Amino acid sequence: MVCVARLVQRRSAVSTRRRLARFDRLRVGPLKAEAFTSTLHSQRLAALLGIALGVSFSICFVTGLLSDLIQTPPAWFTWPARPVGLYRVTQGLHVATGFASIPLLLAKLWIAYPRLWAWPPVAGLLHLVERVSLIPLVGGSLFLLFTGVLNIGFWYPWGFFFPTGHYWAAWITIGALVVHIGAKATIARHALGRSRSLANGRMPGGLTRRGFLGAVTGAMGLITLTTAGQTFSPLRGLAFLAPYVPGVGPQGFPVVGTPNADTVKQAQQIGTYRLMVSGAVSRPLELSLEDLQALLQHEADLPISCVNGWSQTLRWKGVRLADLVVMAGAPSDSSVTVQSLQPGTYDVSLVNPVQLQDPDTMLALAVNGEPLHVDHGFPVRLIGPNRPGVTNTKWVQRVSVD
Amino acid sequence: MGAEGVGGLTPLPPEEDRLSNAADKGPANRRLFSIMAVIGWLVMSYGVYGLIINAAQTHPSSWLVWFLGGIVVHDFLIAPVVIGVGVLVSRAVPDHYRGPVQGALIAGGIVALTALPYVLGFGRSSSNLSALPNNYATALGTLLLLVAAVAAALVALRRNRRRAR
Repeated sequence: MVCVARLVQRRSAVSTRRRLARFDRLRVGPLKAEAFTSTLHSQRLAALLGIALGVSFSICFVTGLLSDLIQTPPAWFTWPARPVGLYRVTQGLHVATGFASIPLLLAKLWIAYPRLWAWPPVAGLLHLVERVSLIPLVGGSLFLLFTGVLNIGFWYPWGFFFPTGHYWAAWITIGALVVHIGAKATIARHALGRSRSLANGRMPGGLTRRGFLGAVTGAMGLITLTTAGQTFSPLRGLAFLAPYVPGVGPQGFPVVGTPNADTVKQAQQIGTYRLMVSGAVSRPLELSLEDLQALLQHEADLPISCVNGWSQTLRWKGVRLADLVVMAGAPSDSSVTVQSLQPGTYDVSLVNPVQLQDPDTMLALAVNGEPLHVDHGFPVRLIGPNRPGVTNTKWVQRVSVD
Repeated sequence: MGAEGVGGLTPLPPEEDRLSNAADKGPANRRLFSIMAVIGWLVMSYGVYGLIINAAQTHPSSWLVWFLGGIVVHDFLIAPVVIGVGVLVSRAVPDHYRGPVQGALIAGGIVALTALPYVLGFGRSSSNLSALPNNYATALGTLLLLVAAVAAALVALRRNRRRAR
């Protein structure tokens, strides 16, 4: 019985091969055997770059999830106010790692390119699953890096809202990465164990594998050196390719959200401005800019840590948010919603009890010794330690205690 | 950007490390793959679910165009162009100097592609002069010159070494 089964199996394998052979006429262009001859199409290089990408994408995924949790916190999540620069580091890392992943991804795709034209295209169910999973992996990886680079460059040629589209693409890409690791872990281990030298299999005169990795690393180095200065101040002088440069902007720092015509007009008629403190309070407040200036002023050095990856420390001066909440008769461990007078996507932000109780969380009236520029939120903006820049609401009109 | 398909000029690499377009049997460790595939597809399903329930923000049809568009542009435009350039370089550049030239094209090409959105500057706006404040074309040009200078130095070094021999 066993013998018969084997015979049948062998015969069917032979006939399958014969049947497939008829399709070999379709092997043209890149599908032809030996269409790709460069020794740089190497499993070893693919494994090395794959591991590097696995690490960089994991860093981007974790820091990205964190940034989303901070901005739309579920009930179980409380983002602390200290250390002051934690978000500056995690988000700086998110953007810098994304930039550094571009050379890695392009190199990896080139190395693996012959596999796109594998013949026969599918060999069995698992192989089919493996190959289909490459669509979300490659599509997602390119999508994440491309939309990320364009987003921080303020260019939106697409129809979706960037943070949401980028966020869900990240889940899809990471899922596809898990499948890919499952498919390649064993092969990668073999490929890396097989030979110690990167220089073997060199073509006459052509680039060695080490040279290839050198060129890719060089590109990573140049991109990092010329962008990381947007958050890492020792490199600030080299930030030629950064879409924002600390030190450049009104009052010496960049602007992301800009005031509309209404906001500018209201800022000019400052006599009519009132800050409202309302919600779960026993004494609702209505304060003019003069009233605010007459309250106890607090000063602190705090960074603006932009979601776009730049950051800059500035000296802020204003009224502690907790002081206002207590003045209105609410406890200082309340949750607070801060609302801008300018409607828009980012017109409200939440301040959790831990943030509110931090002495440096304030409604700033001045920066570096000058009243705020309208681009920076005149008359009043929220600023606090360890908060994403986008949650430091500008042109504050209302503080409501939840 | 290595040398591609120049009939018979390049020897085949060690068979075992070769990443070719030859048939492969799929995942080496079927058990590991099956487990990871289930986990991965669950995670992907969560992503697709999120994409759909947030359709008001994600605009799935536009999202899909950009998601798949990347594959089309890369696999059928960028990669063939890169390979074409690789073939030209392998034919036009003498063996001894080909390495530095290829390296410079790889590094320069990647940096140029990364900087391109800022060089084009579509994100500039008159209401915010602090966004994209640099001259990105000049910056990119300088970086490309730097890459070319390194490649030229390597070529000169090789030439000297050959002469010394």
